[in-house]
Amino acid sequence: MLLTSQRRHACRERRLMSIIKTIGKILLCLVLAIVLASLATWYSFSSARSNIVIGPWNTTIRADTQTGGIYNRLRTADLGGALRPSEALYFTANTDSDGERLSHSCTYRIEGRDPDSRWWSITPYTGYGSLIANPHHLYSVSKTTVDRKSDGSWTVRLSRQEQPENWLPLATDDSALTIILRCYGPSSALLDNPAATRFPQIILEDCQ
Amino acid sequence: MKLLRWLLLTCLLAIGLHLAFIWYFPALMTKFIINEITSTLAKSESMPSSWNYLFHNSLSEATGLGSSGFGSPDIIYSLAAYDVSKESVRIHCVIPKEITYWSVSLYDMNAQNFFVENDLTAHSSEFDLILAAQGVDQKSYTSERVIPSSTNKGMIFIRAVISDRNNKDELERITDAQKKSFIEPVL
Repeated sequence: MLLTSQRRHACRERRLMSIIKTIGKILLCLVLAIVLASLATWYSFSSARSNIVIGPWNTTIRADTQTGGIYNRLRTADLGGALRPSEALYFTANTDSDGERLSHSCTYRIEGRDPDSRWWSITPYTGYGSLIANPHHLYSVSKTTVDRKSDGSWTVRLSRQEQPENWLPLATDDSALTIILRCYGPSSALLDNPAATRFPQIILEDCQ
Repeated sequence: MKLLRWLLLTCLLAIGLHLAFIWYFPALMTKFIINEITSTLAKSESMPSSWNYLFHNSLSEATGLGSSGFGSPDIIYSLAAYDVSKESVRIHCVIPKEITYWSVSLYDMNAQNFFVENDLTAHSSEFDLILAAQGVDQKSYTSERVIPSSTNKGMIFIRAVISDRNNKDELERITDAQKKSFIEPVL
């Protein structure tokens, strides 16, 4: 009797261990699946963000939304209600023209000529995507406000210290610095082949 | 063999989860923005209903609405969350004079920008659009342009670029014109 009872007990234990092992395996599968899915999604997401690089500037020119698949829809959604490429192009810079990460503690010189579009603007942001608070309320420089040289080219300086002519203040914190160049009504040449266009250079002058 | 089965199950689960996220993310993103429009803006204007109403924002400063999310400091936005499930809506658009750039853009719940008209493509400086659900009889609207939306809900963005935000006259002129744009249900 005792032996039968012990055998039954051992049997129940083995079954319980088997169930626990199976649940463990399923959970492990789920965790691995979530990790793999997250990596694949992160890759899709980050590769969807910018697929054209022109010097320090990155942009995504998405396909016609009417014909795009789910990955193209993701590119559109990433821009959060942004305009179509034929209406506006957005170029983002997180590094200078030498490939060094931008920093609010440095002074930069952006030199260039008007991009081929109806209107353009250059705006720096904090690492949190916010406009940079400053007592002068200077947030951007544009085609209509920039002071130009005699040949039509211009220079804009980004710095914590006030600069002569075109100046945009940088943040007092050490969050990442992002600069966005917006081109409204881009020409067909700019739209079709932005890589062939000469874009403004971002040159590091000095750092604190 | 057992290990292979488990690996296959893991891969299938991963693929399913990945595709599900890619599929639903645009709608999640749009819902988030619509929630900002319907809750934040509605609260600030003490609106009883925040759907099918065009909110007019002022220029962004470094704090406040529009200051984050890489918003442009040179654009005056008018925003609306639309719902055409019960009735169509008329979007009355007024393009400010001597504008640098102006446009009206419509986005469905999958963040698809299915319609855009700008100051150069518009036939007049004041015009109406009828935004309707798919399948609505368009013959009842003879003079206006009917735009069918692939989803019953979505967003409307009207953008007006200010060429110089320190030019008070330009700011006032464009702001006044923007405020003449509105949305109303079409009965």
